[in-house]
Formats: sequence, structure tokens, C-alpha cells
Amino acid sequence: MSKEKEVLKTGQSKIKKKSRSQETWRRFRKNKLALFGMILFAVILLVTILADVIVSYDVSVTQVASERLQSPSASHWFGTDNYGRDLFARIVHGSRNSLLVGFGSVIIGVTLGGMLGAVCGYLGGRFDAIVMRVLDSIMCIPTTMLALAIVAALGTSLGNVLMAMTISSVPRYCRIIRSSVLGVTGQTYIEAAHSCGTPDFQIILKHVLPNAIGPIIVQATMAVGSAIISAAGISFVGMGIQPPAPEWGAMLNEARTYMTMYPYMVLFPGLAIGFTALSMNLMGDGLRDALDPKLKD
Amino acid sequence: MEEKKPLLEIENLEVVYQTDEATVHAVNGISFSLNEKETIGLVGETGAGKTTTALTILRLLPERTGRVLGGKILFHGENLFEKTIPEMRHVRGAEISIIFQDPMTALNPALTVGDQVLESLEIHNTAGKSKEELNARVDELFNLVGIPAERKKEYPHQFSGGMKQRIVIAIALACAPQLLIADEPTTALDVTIQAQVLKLMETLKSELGTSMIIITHDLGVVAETCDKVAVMYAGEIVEAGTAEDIFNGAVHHPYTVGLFNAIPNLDEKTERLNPIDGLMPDPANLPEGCKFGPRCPHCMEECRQGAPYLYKENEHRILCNLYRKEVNDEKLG
Repeated sequence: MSKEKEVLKTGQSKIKKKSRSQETWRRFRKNKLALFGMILFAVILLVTILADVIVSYDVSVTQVASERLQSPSASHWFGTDNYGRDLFARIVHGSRNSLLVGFGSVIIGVTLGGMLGAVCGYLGGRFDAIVMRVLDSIMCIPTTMLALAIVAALGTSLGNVLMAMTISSVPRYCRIIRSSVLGVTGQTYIEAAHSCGTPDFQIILKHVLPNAIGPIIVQATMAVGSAIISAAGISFVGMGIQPPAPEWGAMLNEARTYMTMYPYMVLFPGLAIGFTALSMNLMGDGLRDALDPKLKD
Repeated sequence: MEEKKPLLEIENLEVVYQTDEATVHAVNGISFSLNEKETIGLVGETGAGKTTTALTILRLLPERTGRVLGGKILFHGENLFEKTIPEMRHVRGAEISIIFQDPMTALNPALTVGDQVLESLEIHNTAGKSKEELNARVDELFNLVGIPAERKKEYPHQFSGGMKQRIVIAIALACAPQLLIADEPTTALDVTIQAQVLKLMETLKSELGTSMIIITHDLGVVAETCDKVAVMYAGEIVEAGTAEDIFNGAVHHPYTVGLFNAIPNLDEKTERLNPIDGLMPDPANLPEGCKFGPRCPHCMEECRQGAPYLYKENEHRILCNLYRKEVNDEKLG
């Protein structure tokens, strides 16, 4: 209010200018669903960061034989598993491994795949043909199989799982980016950038990618959930995160046997993965709309 | 006039587009020169090779199909075809820049217009100017083209067509190029905006002394802005000269006459315009002899055989057998 008055007083009708980030935030905020997704994600992130404050790590790995397979109660909010470990503590601490694998593989995969796809789509010709054929042949191998093979060859560790999942996801992102880059490269403003003497690398980074990034943002946010599940598959065959370390996907797999008798064992890890994926999807959709200047207001 | 130095000289330029099915002869041995602070208009109908000429000057022909078969383009006496790619990159934007036909698609929709003007400045910032100095230059350019500098933080879709074209002009002028190529700068704009943009270009010419190549099929635009005119037909310059020669000269190429006949005359009442009969020949399959022959009302036997005669008088050049001495004498005698 006071600011408006000031403007009126000085008699200047100058339009208030906002920086780009402020502008994006203003539009993002208008989208209530996206805002909800962001709050949900903030809560999950907070839990991950404050895991040690909420509940000690020891609780999540201590096996108490007398408290096996207990239903949710005041002392065990999410119940206990077949070894008598507290599921709440396991979910809280499992978020660290799960989010790391989920986000890590998607972020690295999108960055690598995106750059490669952009260069392929932009340059075209022989380079494009060779890279795409190599990626095609990688895509022929089922994702999980490929990831398993890589982990088996390199040894089991969180880093290797991350790398394996990244490598197996790169071809997909590369293809998506490449196809939208092909559409952008034919535009006059790319030719105009050439005519200004802009180097190729800068054209890709400043003119091609920002206009081709839309589809990949949505794809990437949706992929976080499935990356967590894939990591669970690797954990399941004993090549991912080693028990007793908690991890959401691995917890789902362990609970499989008890699903009919003790459904809460599946429910809570499932919800954790589901909410993470949901928050990412909502946020991604909102972010894409907020970043697109054409959809302004 | 004699003191003027040639800025751009094109000699015998020949460009083809090579595809699997055919070889398209887009530019067939054209030559012209442009002095400093001069404006030349390239006139001709669609497909005459005007845009190809412009792209060739900047060496921006499509890589897979465009081939330069011969000729030289001398800029400041240096052959542009002999320059390396980094050298060429410096020429583009800093020394020669181009304004594209359609301002709607020539701006990146994802960047603010200010950033797009700034980008060109940053690329050619060899003097190592600070960010503040460059930003000040951006403001200066916006003022120059008549757009409030506060609007530089807005995106292209927030501007009207005429304003977009002015921003495109601002980008082209950012590094004060010696040569500005305007590829149909007014075709995509409506008449009132056309007048604004032409007026702007006229001011820029007188204030900055930039040489220009204006590509157009609008003879009115040429009359208003150009010192020299080259009329192109099927990849050849069929008539060239000063604007005076073309608009008021005594003799003309039949094609130029046809072009003028196709313009409505405000003083006379006419029911219909007189277009030139027929269509431009397929550039993949050009006729022998004079390219305009099949459509020419004065076509003679010899026009179908060899290349036509080049008539010269001062700067005025006409590529037509009508002005061959003997023929003229025969007719007059």
C-alpha cells in the first residue's frame, strides 16, 4: 500500500519492474496445485534433512524380536516389520537413500541426455546418426537388466547404483530433447543468431535449449518416482543398497511376502514414494507453465 | 562521388542448390559493387535469387545443399570466401548484419528482448567493455529505434509486429556494422508500420552512415531509400544503375518496364494492371540464351541463342539484345 501511495505522490506512472525470478515466482504462486506440490516436497525434504533429529538412526536398524510385525500404534506410528524394526524410523531414514538415488539419477541423466540430445539435434548429420544408433542399441537392453549388469560388473555401492541408473536412462532423455530441438533448429531466430556471429555452443545453450526444455521438465519430474522404484528392483536382487540400511523401494520388496496379512508394511513405503512422485509432478507442471513467457498471465 | 571507396564488391557470383533430384541455379554470375554510405536495392520477384545473394554474403547458405560455384565477394578488398570460420563469425554481426523478413519469428521467444540485444554486443565485445557500459549501449539502441528502454525486460510476444522489427533492427545495429542487409524488411508489416520502419532506416542511414543492401519487390521502397538499384531476374542482374537511371532513364530492360507497368498509377484511371505474362522459369531448368526471353514481348531470334548483349552507359547496365548497336541502328534506320 505504502509503495503505491508513494508512486501516486511523486506522480510517476512508471510500471513496476520485476526481475525474471520474481516474475516466475508470481506466476507459479497463482497455480494452487503447484504450490501444494512444493509444500509437500518441502516437507519431505525437511524430513530428509532433519532425519537424525526426528528419530535416531539406530532405531531404524535395531531388530527387536519381541516387537515383530506390530500394527501401527502410539509407540510405533507406522508399525514394525518382520524383524521388529520401527517402520517410521526406517521411512524417515530411508528417504535419504531413496531421494539421493531418485533425484541423482534423474538430474545427471537429464543433464547428460539433454546436452547430448541437443548437440545431436542441432548438428545433425553423421555425428547425430552415430550417436543415435549407439543409444538405440543401449535402448534395446531392458533398463533394469542393463543397470543390474553395470552394478554387477562394478560392485555394489550407492554410487554405482546411481551411475547404472543414469546410464540406462540417458538414451530416453536424449531422444526426447533431440526431437524438440529438431523443431527449434529450423526457426528463423536460430538463423538470426548465426547471422549475429553467435558461436554454436552459445546458440545451443541460449537459444535452442530454453525453447526445447518444456517436455523434458515434465518427463523428468515423473521419472523421479520410477527411478526410486527401479532402484528398489536393484536392491531386491541384492545389488543395491545393502540391508539393514533402510531404503523405500527395498522396504516395499521386503514387505511383499507379508502384504496380505500386514498391509501397512506396503502402505507406508508406498505412500512415501507416491507422495514424493506426486509432489514432483505437480511442481514440474507448475514450473513449466511459470517458465514459459508465452503463457504469461 | 569519385572519392568513395568500395565497401563490397561482388564479382561473377554463382550459387546453386544441389539436391538429389535437381540442381537449382539460384544465382548465375552476378556482379555489383557498393560504396561506403551507399544503399543498393535488389529488386525482383520471388525466386530471383535475392535472398540467396544475401545469405551468400554472410556465408549462411544451407550447408547440405547450398554451393558456391564461383566468383568472389570482396569486403574491404578481402575475399569473404577465404576467411576462416572464426573470422567469419566476427564479420557476422560486427561488420555485416542482416535483418530478416519476418520479425515474428526472428526473435527468440524465451529470452527478453534486452538480453537478445545484449547478446550480440557481448559476442563482439573485443574492447572488453564492462557490463554497465554494454547495458548503457542497449538503452541507447532502444532509444535509437524508438522503444522505451524500460521495456527491454519484456519478451518478444509482448510487442507488436512493427516494434519487433525495430528490435530486430536494434540487434542488427548493435555493433555498428558497416553493412546492413535488409531482407524484405517491410514485407511482413502493414502499410503504416512499413512507413515507420522505412523512416527509421532512413534516419539511421543519415545518422550512422551505414551502407545498406535492401532486398525487396516493392519499387516504392526502392525509390524512397536507395541510391543504386539492381533488378534481378532468374539469378541474373538484368538491369542496374543509379536510382535515377532506373526510375527516370530513357532505356530499360523489358523486364523492368514490365515491373513498372504492374504498379498502379494514381494519376491515370485504369481498369486493370498490366502484369508480365507467364511465370519465372524453373531455376532448375533455365531456358537457353536470355532467361527472360520466353516472357519478353521483344524477343528476337538471337535472344534464344547466346547470352544477351550488355549495354553500358555510365553506371547504367542493361542485359538485353535490344540495345546492341546494330539492332538499334536497324530499328532506327
